[in-house]
Amino acid sequence: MNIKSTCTIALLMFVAASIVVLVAKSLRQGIPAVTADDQRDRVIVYYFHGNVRCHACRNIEVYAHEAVATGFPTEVGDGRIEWKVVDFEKPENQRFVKDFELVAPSVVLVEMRGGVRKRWKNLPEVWELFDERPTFVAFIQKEVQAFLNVK
Amino acid sequence: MELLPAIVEALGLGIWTAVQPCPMATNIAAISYLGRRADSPRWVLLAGLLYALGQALVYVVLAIVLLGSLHAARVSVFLQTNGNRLIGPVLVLFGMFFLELIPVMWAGLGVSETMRKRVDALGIWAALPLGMLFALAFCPISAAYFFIALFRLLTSYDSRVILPSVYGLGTALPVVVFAVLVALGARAVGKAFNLLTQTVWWMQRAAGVVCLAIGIHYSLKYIFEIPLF
Repeated sequence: MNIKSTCTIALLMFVAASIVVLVAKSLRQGIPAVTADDQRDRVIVYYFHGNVRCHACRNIEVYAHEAVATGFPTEVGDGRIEWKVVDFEKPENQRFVKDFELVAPSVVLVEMRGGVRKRWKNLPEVWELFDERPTFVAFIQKEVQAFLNVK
Repeated sequence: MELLPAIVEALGLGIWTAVQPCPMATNIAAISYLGRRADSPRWVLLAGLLYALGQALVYVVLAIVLLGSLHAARVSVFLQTNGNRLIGPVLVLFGMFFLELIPVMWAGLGVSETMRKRVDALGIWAALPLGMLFALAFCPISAAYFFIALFRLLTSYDSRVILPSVYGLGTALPVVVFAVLVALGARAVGKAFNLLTQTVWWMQRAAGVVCLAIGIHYSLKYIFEIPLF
């Protein structure tokens, strides 16, 4: 068997293994884990992302976190605002995709009252601002403040 | 005429999507596939048009089916997850084909030379499904531009065919332009040294290696989930 045939067989086996794993992953839809809901009243600032973490996605996460941490240190400290990073491709998190209409990674504000989701707001505008850090941070802080002000 | 500003915006959005780092690997694979035929710029242009048509078709179908649909989010996430997974094995097979590894096997399995030539002739038509496949493989930024920015535009102008088509042409435009430039450059070099046939042979091999490398990269990253860098 020459090198060419060996390479061909190795590559075909690689393709076959890829397809087998691909099919296995498609079939393996895990049962969503049920977690006890936190009953505290608060606003959660979510950053939702998928398995692919692009440069823009990382910017959005870093800037949004910075906006929350620097703009609302007291509220974060006393638990009125919570920052959460969630992978929406994990089986237990896939419900968020439908709930918040997530077509791409995004920042979502959610008001929780007595363990129940009262209202939410998706901020797809982050995709227009991810290259402008000060504007991005100001935008998130303005949106969070406006969200907090609504009673 | 009132659609003209939206057409310009959709075209710009498509081009902007194509030049982002995220779809760079698939664009390089497409350029190497399209630009390898240095002996025939006409072939490169025709294959480029088919590639663009494949992309436009996918975006039109997605716009028709998903604009205003409650399933848009799920489809978008499904495509971001599975589109990239499909690319790996397909590109490995493309690479093997360009490196003539698959015909070697076929010969061993008794497939005739005539059959092999027929399969070779199908090369130009492979640009159409390749364009469709690459369009389906959304990464986060292309999903955001398509499902958020373009869908806003489609809603404002109530357009489900023209604007998604223009967006598709925009995403393919940089790829086709680069492929034509690569082919013309290689052709000029080949002619200058009177080595056009050898140049085409080497371009074919280079396309094979590029497709193979990107295919293996995609398989390891998205299927086996092995972080490479």
